[in-house]
Amino acid sequence: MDGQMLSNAQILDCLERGVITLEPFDHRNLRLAHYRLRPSQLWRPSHQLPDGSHQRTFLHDFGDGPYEFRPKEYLVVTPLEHVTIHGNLVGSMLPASTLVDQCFSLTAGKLDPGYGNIGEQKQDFIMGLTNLLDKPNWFHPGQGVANIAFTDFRASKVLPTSWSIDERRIFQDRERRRRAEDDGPFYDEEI
Amino acid sequence: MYGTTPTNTQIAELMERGQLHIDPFEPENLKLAHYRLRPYQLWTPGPQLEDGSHMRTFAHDFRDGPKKFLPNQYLVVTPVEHITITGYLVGSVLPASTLVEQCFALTAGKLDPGYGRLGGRKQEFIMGIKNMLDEPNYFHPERGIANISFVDFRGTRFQEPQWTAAEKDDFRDREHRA
Repeated sequence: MDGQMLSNAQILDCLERGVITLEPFDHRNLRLAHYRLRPSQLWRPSHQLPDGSHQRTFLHDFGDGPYEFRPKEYLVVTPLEHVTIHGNLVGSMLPASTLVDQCFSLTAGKLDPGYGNIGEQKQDFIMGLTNLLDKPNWFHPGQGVANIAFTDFRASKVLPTSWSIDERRIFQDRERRRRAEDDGPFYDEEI
Repeated sequence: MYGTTPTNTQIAELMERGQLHIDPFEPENLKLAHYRLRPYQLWTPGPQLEDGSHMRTFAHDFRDGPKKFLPNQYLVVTPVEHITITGYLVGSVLPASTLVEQCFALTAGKLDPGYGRLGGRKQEFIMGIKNMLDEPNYFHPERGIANISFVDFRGTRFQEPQWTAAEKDDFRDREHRA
């Protein structure tokens, strides 16, 4: 059997069984086959690290209301909902259609099985949000930011997956930064 | 029966049957239902042509390392992998999540059945990559560029797709340029 996209009833079933978590969950945001994610916080990219990623500094909490982006500004946005995936499901993102009339664009990847926690720690899902205008532009959080859908592969025959050396390095770099912000150096073996 | 998303087992089977080619293929880049594409070359858009597309000039080969993008620069990127689809499958492309923290955005379309060959010649899959910052920004190739998944329509009822007049013109223009 191939992967099937979950309907809202099946998403609810997965939530009840703990295969997916979406916290906080609000029934009103569950559509036919998508859950509407709301923006929580904005982060400004600062200097570039040797691995190509950028450090981020906290900028705005949407609990305090809308945010005025500078002309063409790119910021990192985290959603209100913490999403975790425990079974063989993949989460995929679509920009909220309201971004079109707000003149913003979204960059977002997919969520793989196991997503949501690294070790004991919460793994934040980050997306990129850009003001496409040459002038300041307000982003209103009530309009949502993205929609997540899930494809279910639990009944399918799957091959075991592994990380490439590059992916392991990316993970290690992220872990190193997280620990450096916490209690000091990273002692794990280098790849 | 409707279109369904093949798992990695089924992607491997499709490749064995010759209905899908991903070349070069690295097993470690095959995830649960996606294949992780790596960037290969960058191209700078040049003068705009009558059909709206832009001429392209070679800008960078990622075998030479990361590329420093100018502020807000948009370049065309080709992947290492050459993909051909001979069965009734559609390929869809998602940006790599690593683009978010690198502050780049990706523009990519879909791959239709028959994709990968144009009249005996290799058809390149092109995507657009843009530095979203007002300052120079390095793109590191080892972080990947996109993930491709497939929807399988074999065994479903469908009408044979037809090209519109505009699509035929576009095809002729591309052939003419090639």
